[in-house]
Amino acid sequence: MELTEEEIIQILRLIDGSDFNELHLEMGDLKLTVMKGGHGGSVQQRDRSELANQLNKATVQADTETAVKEKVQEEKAEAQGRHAGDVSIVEEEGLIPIKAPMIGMFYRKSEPDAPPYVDIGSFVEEDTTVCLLEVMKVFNAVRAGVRGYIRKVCAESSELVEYGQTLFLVEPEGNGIKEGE
Amino acid sequence: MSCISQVMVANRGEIAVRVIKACQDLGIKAVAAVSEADRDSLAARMADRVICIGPARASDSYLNMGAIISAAVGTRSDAVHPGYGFLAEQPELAEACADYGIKFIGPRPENMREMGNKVWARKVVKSLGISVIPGSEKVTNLSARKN
Repeated sequence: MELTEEEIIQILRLIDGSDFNELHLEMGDLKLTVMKGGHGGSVQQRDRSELANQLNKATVQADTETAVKEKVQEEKAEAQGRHAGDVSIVEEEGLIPIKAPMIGMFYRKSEPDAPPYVDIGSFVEEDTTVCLLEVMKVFNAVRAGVRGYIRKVCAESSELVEYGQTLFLVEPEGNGIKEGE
Repeated sequence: MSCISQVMVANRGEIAVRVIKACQDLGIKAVAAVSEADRDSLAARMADRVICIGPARASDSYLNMGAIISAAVGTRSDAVHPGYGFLAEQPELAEACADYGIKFIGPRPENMREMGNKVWARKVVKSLGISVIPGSEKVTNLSARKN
Protein backbone atom coordinates (compact mmCIF):
# COMPACT_ATOMS: atom_id res chain seq x y z
CA MET A 1 0.00 0.00 0.00
CA GLU A 2 1.43 3.34 -0.99
CA LEU A 3 0.27 6.88 -0.61
CA THR A 4 1.14 9.62 -3.06
CA GLU A 5 2.74 12.88 -1.97
CA GLU A 6 -0.50 14.66 -2.80
CA GLU A 7 -2.49 12.32 -0.58
CA ILE A 8 -0.08 12.81 2.31
CA ILE A 9 -0.27 16.60 1.97
CA GLN A 10 -4.05 16.35 1.85
CA ILE A 11 -4.03 14.33 5.09
CA LEU A 12 -1.73 16.89 6.73
CA ARG A 13 -4.01 19.74 5.63
CA LEU A 14 -7.10 17.94 6.92
CA ILE A 15 -5.61 17.35 10.35
CA ASP A 16 -4.19 20.88 10.36
CA GLY A 17 -7.61 22.40 9.79
CA SER A 18 -9.43 20.06 12.17
CA ASP A 19 -9.93 20.09 15.93
CA PHE A 20 -8.07 16.79 16.24
CA ASN A 21 -4.50 16.69 17.44
CA GLU A 22 -3.61 13.20 16.35
CA LEU A 23 -4.24 10.86 13.47
CA HIS A 24 -3.32 7.20 13.38
CA LEU A 25 -3.86 5.57 10.04
CA GLU A 26 -3.27 1.93 9.24
CA MET A 27 -3.74 0.64 5.73
CA GLY A 28 -2.28 -2.80 5.16
CA ASP A 29 1.39 -2.62 6.02
CA LEU A 30 1.39 1.19 6.02
CA LYS A 31 1.13 2.91 9.39
CA LEU A 32 0.94 6.68 9.51
CA THR A 33 0.94 8.78 12.68
CA VAL A 34 0.42 12.53 12.44
CA MET A 35 0.41 14.79 15.49
CA LYS A 36 0.02 18.52 15.92
CA GLY A 37 2.32 20.51 18.25
CA GLY A 38 2.00 20.66 22.04
CA HIS A 39 4.10 17.67 23.07
CA GLY A 40 7.36 17.48 24.93
CA GLY A 41 10.44 18.10 22.82
CA SER A 42 11.73 14.59 22.73
CA VAL A 43 8.30 13.12 22.08
CA GLN A 44 7.87 15.50 19.18
CA GLN A 45 11.26 14.52 17.91
CA ARG A 46 10.31 10.86 17.98
CA ASP A 47 7.00 11.54 16.22
CA ARG A 48 8.76 13.56 13.59
CA SER A 49 11.20 10.80 12.78
CA GLU A 50 8.36 8.31 12.78
CA LEU A 51 6.42 10.51 10.41
CA ALA A 52 9.48 11.00 8.23
CA ASN A 53 9.97 7.22 8.07
CA GLN A 54 6.37 6.71 7.10
CA LEU A 55 6.62 9.41 4.47
CA ASN A 56 9.67 7.73 3.00
CA LYS A 57 7.94 4.38 3.11
CA ALA A 58 5.11 5.89 1.14
CA THR A 59 7.69 6.96 -1.48
CA VAL A 60 7.20 10.61 -0.62
CA GLN A 61 10.06 13.01 -0.16
CA ALA A 62 10.31 14.50 3.31
CA ASP A 63 10.21 18.09 2.10
CA THR A 64 6.46 18.44 2.46
CA GLU A 65 4.94 21.67 3.65
CA THR A 66 4.89 20.53 7.29
CA ALA A 67 8.42 19.20 7.25
CA VAL A 68 9.69 22.50 5.86
CA LYS A 69 7.74 24.41 8.50
CA GLU A 70 9.22 22.25 11.26
CA LYS A 71 12.70 22.77 9.90
CA VAL A 72 12.24 26.53 9.97
CA GLN A 73 10.96 26.29 13.55
CA GLU A 74 13.94 24.20 14.57
CA GLU A 75 16.38 26.66 13.04
CA LYS A 76 14.67 29.53 14.82
CA ALA A 77 14.68 27.59 18.09
CA GLU A 78 18.43 27.22 17.73
CA ALA A 79 18.80 30.97 17.35
CA GLN A 80 16.65 31.65 20.41
CA GLY A 81 17.66 32.48 23.93
CA ARG A 82 18.95 36.05 23.87
CA HIS A 83 16.14 37.39 26.03
CA ALA A 84 14.82 34.15 27.26
CA GLY A 85 16.81 33.71 30.46
CA ASP A 86 15.93 30.28 31.76
CA VAL A 87 15.19 28.97 28.30
CA SER A 88 18.79 29.36 27.30
CA ILE A 89 20.11 26.97 29.96
CA VAL A 90 23.17 25.44 28.42
CA GLU A 91 22.26 21.84 28.06
CA GLU A 92 24.88 19.63 29.59
CA GLU A 93 26.49 17.10 27.37
CA GLY A 94 24.65 13.81 27.17
CA LEU A 95 21.60 15.11 29.04
CA ILE A 96 18.24 15.37 27.34
CA PRO A 97 16.00 18.31 28.24
CA ILE A 98 12.31 17.91 29.04
CA LYS A 99 10.88 21.16 27.73
CA ALA A 100 7.63 22.90 28.57
CA PRO A 101 5.10 22.00 25.86
CA MET A 102 3.10 25.12 26.73
CA ILE A 103 3.32 28.27 28.81
CA GLY A 104 1.90 27.89 32.31
CA MET A 105 2.50 27.76 36.04
CA PHE A 106 4.91 24.97 36.90
CA TYR A 107 4.01 22.56 39.68
CA ARG A 108 6.16 19.63 40.78
CA LYS A 109 3.49 18.13 43.05
CA SER A 110 -0.11 17.12 42.52
CA GLU A 111 -1.03 18.94 45.75
CA PRO A 112 0.93 20.91 48.37
CA ASP A 113 1.41 17.97 50.76
CA ALA A 114 2.10 15.36 48.10
CA PRO A 115 5.64 14.30 47.18
CA PRO A 116 7.02 15.71 43.92
CA TYR A 117 6.30 13.67 40.82
CA VAL A 118 10.03 13.27 40.24
CA ASP A 119 13.22 14.29 41.96
CA ILE A 120 16.90 14.19 41.14
CA GLY A 121 17.80 10.54 40.60
CA SER A 122 14.24 9.45 39.77
CA PHE A 123 13.91 7.00 36.92
CA VAL A 124 11.42 8.10 34.29
CA GLU A 125 9.92 6.40 31.29
CA GLU A 126 8.43 8.07 28.23
CA ASP A 127 4.96 8.29 29.75
CA THR A 128 5.98 9.17 33.33
CA THR A 129 4.34 12.37 34.55
CA VAL A 130 7.10 14.73 35.64
CA CYS A 131 5.13 17.86 36.55
CA LEU A 132 1.95 19.83 36.00
CA LEU A 133 1.49 23.02 34.01
CA GLU A 134 -1.51 25.11 34.92
CA VAL A 135 -3.19 27.20 32.23
CA MET A 136 -6.33 29.10 33.23
CA LYS A 137 -7.01 26.74 36.14
CA VAL A 138 -6.60 23.65 33.97
CA PHE A 139 -3.77 21.39 35.08
CA ASN A 140 -1.91 19.65 32.28
CA ALA A 141 0.34 16.70 33.02
CA VAL A 142 3.73 16.82 31.31
CA ARG A 143 5.21 13.47 30.30
CA ALA A 144 8.93 12.80 30.27
CA GLY A 145 8.99 11.62 26.66
CA VAL A 146 12.34 9.96 27.36
CA ARG A 147 13.68 7.02 29.42
CA GLY A 148 16.35 7.76 31.96
CA TYR A 149 17.29 9.40 35.24
CA ILE A 150 16.41 12.95 36.27
CA ARG A 151 19.69 14.77 36.77
CA LYS A 152 18.56 18.36 37.20
CA VAL A 153 15.37 20.25 37.98
CA CYS A 154 15.58 23.53 36.06
CA ALA A 155 12.41 25.38 37.10
CA GLU A 156 10.97 26.56 40.40
CA SER A 157 7.61 25.30 41.59
CA SER A 158 4.68 27.77 41.37
CA GLU A 159 6.52 29.91 38.85
CA LEU A 160 5.64 30.78 35.30
CA VAL A 161 7.46 28.76 32.67
CA GLU A 162 7.35 29.76 29.05
CA TYR A 163 6.87 27.59 26.01
CA GLY A 164 10.02 25.62 25.23
CA GLN A 165 11.67 26.31 28.60
CA THR A 166 13.80 23.45 29.91
CA LEU A 167 12.12 21.93 32.99
CA PHE A 168 14.33 18.91 33.67
CA LEU A 169 17.52 17.39 32.36
CA VAL A 170 17.51 13.64 31.94
CA GLU A 171 20.42 11.24 31.71
CA PRO A 172 19.24 8.72 29.14
CA GLU A 173 19.22 5.10 30.26
CA GLY A 174 22.26 3.17 29.11
CA ASN A 175 24.83 5.92 29.61
CA GLY A 176 26.59 3.81 32.22
CA ILE A 177 25.28 5.89 35.14
CA LYS A 178 22.92 4.30 37.61
CA GLU A 179 20.32 5.71 39.94
CA GLY A 180 21.67 7.78 42.83
CA GLU A 181 25.18 8.20 41.39
CA MET B 1 -8.61 54.47 38.49
CA SER B 2 -5.67 52.26 39.36
CA CYS B 3 -2.36 52.87 37.68
CA ILE B 4 -1.00 50.68 34.90
CA SER B 5 2.70 50.07 35.38
CA GLN B 6 3.14 47.09 33.05
CA VAL B 7 1.37 46.14 29.83
CA MET B 8 1.65 42.83 28.03
CA VAL B 9 1.46 43.14 24.27
CA ALA B 10 -0.18 40.09 22.68
CA ASN B 11 0.73 40.73 19.08
CA ARG B 12 3.71 40.79 16.76
CA GLY B 13 5.52 42.83 14.13
CA GLU B 14 4.88 46.51 13.56
CA ILE B 15 1.76 46.43 15.75
CA ALA B 16 3.73 45.20 18.77
CA VAL B 17 6.55 47.67 18.09
CA ARG B 18 4.15 50.61 18.07
CA VAL B 19 2.38 49.56 21.27
CA ILE B 20 5.66 48.86 23.09
CA LYS B 21 7.04 52.25 22.05
CA ALA B 22 3.86 54.02 23.18
CA CYS B 23 4.03 52.26 26.57
CA GLN B 24 7.67 53.11 27.08
CA ASP B 25 7.05 56.75 26.09
CA LEU B 26 4.50 56.84 28.90
CA GLY B 27 6.92 55.26 31.37
CA ILE B 28 5.04 51.96 31.34
CA LYS B 29 6.95 48.68 31.15
CA ALA B 30 6.12 46.50 28.17
CA VAL B 31 6.14 42.71 28.08
CA ALA B 32 6.23 41.18 24.61
CA ALA B 33 4.27 37.93 24.38
CA VAL B 34 5.91 36.23 21.42
CA SER B 35 5.70 33.00 19.51
CA GLU B 36 8.85 30.94 19.19
CA ALA B 37 9.40 32.42 15.73
CA ASP B 38 9.38 35.99 17.07
CA ARG B 39 11.79 35.57 19.98
CA ASP B 40 14.37 37.66 18.20
CA SER B 41 12.02 40.15 16.57
CA LEU B 42 12.37 43.93 16.89
CA ALA B 43 9.42 43.98 19.28
CA ALA B 44 11.14 41.39 21.49
CA ARG B 45 14.36 43.40 21.47
CA MET B 46 12.52 46.58 22.45
CA ALA B 47 10.39 45.09 25.21
CA ASP B 48 11.36 45.20 28.86
CA ARG B 49 10.56 41.51 29.14
CA VAL B 50 9.87 38.75 26.63
CA ILE B 51 7.70 35.74 27.26
CA CYS B 52 7.30 32.92 24.77
CA ILE B 53 3.66 31.86 24.61
CA GLY B 54 3.86 29.07 22.05
CA PRO B 55 5.17 27.72 18.78
CA ALA B 56 5.28 29.65 15.50
CA ARG B 57 1.78 28.61 14.46
CA ALA B 58 -0.53 31.53 15.40
CA SER B 59 -3.34 29.23 16.55
CA ASP B 60 -0.98 27.88 19.21
CA SER B 61 0.40 31.25 20.28
CA TYR B 62 -1.22 34.61 19.38
CA LEU B 63 -4.65 33.00 19.09
CA ASN B 64 -4.23 30.85 22.19
CA MET B 65 -6.23 32.62 24.86
CA GLY B 66 -5.06 30.34 27.67
CA ALA B 67 -1.42 31.05 26.84
CA ILE B 68 -2.03 34.80 26.70
CA ILE B 69 -3.87 34.89 30.03
CA SER B 70 -1.22 32.67 31.66
CA ALA B 71 1.53 34.95 30.39
CA ALA B 72 -0.23 38.08 31.61
CA VAL B 73 -0.92 36.60 35.05
CA GLY B 74 2.53 35.04 35.33
CA THR B 75 4.37 38.23 34.37
CA ARG B 76 2.12 40.21 36.76
CA SER B 77 1.07 42.56 34.00
CA ASP B 78 -1.63 45.07 34.87
CA ALA B 79 -3.08 45.14 31.37
CA VAL B 80 -3.14 43.30 28.06
CA HIS B 81 -2.97 45.16 24.77
CA PRO B 82 -4.11 42.85 21.97
CA GLY B 83 -3.08 45.15 19.12
CA TYR B 84 -5.45 44.48 16.24
CA GLY B 85 -6.41 41.28 14.46
CA PHE B 86 -5.78 37.98 16.29
CA LEU B 87 -7.85 38.07 19.50
CA ALA B 88 -8.36 41.85 19.52
CA GLU B 89 -12.01 41.49 18.53
CA GLN B 90 -12.78 38.46 20.67
CA PRO B 91 -15.03 39.44 23.55
CA GLU B 92 -13.98 36.22 25.29
CA LEU B 93 -10.43 37.55 25.77
CA ALA B 94 -11.72 40.78 27.28
CA GLU B 95 -13.94 38.75 29.60
CA ALA B 96 -11.12 36.39 30.59
CA CYS B 97 -8.90 39.38 31.39
CA ALA B 98 -11.61 40.77 33.63
CA ASP B 99 -11.95 37.39 35.37
CA TYR B 100 -8.24 37.48 36.21
CA GLY B 101 -8.22 41.12 37.33
CA ILE B 102 -6.31 42.30 34.26
CA LYS B 103 -7.33 45.34 32.25
CA PHE B 104 -8.10 44.71 28.59
CA ILE B 105 -7.00 47.66 26.49
CA GLY B 106 -9.83 47.81 23.99
CA PRO B 107 -13.60 47.95 23.76
CA ARG B 108 -15.88 46.34 26.31
CA PRO B 109 -17.00 42.80 25.39
CA GLU B 110 -20.62 43.88 24.90
CA ASN B 111 -19.50 46.59 22.46
CA MET B 112 -17.46 44.06 20.50
CA ARG B 113 -20.50 41.81 20.27
CA GLU B 114 -22.68 44.69 19.06
CA MET B 115 -20.23 46.05 16.52
CA GLY B 116 -18.47 42.88 15.36
CA ASN B 117 -21.42 41.67 13.32
CA LYS B 118 -22.12 44.22 10.56
CA VAL B 119 -25.84 43.46 10.22
CA TRP B 120 -26.28 43.72 13.99
CA ALA B 121 -24.12 46.86 14.11
CA ARG B 122 -26.37 48.58 11.52
CA LYS B 123 -29.41 47.64 13.59
CA VAL B 124 -27.88 49.04 16.78
CA VAL B 125 -26.82 52.29 15.13
CA LYS B 126 -30.23 52.74 13.48
CA SER B 127 -31.96 52.09 16.81
CA LEU B 128 -30.07 55.08 18.20
CA GLY B 129 -31.56 57.30 15.52
CA ILE B 130 -28.31 57.60 13.59
CA SER B 131 -28.62 57.31 9.80
CA VAL B 132 -26.50 54.72 8.05
CA ILE B 133 -25.45 54.43 4.42
CA PRO B 134 -28.02 52.30 2.56
CA GLY B 135 -26.89 48.73 2.08
CA SER B 136 -27.96 45.11 2.14
CA GLU B 137 -29.86 43.84 5.11
CA LYS B 138 -29.51 40.29 6.32
CA VAL B 139 -29.83 37.86 3.42
CA THR B 140 -32.45 35.26 4.30
CA ASN B 141 -32.71 33.28 1.07
CA LEU B 142 -30.71 32.46 -2.02
CA SER B 143 -32.88 34.41 -4.48
CA ALA B 144 -32.39 37.59 -2.44
CA ARG B 145 -28.65 37.00 -2.60
CA LYS B 146 -28.73 36.74 -6.41
CA ASN B 147 -30.53 40.07 -6.60
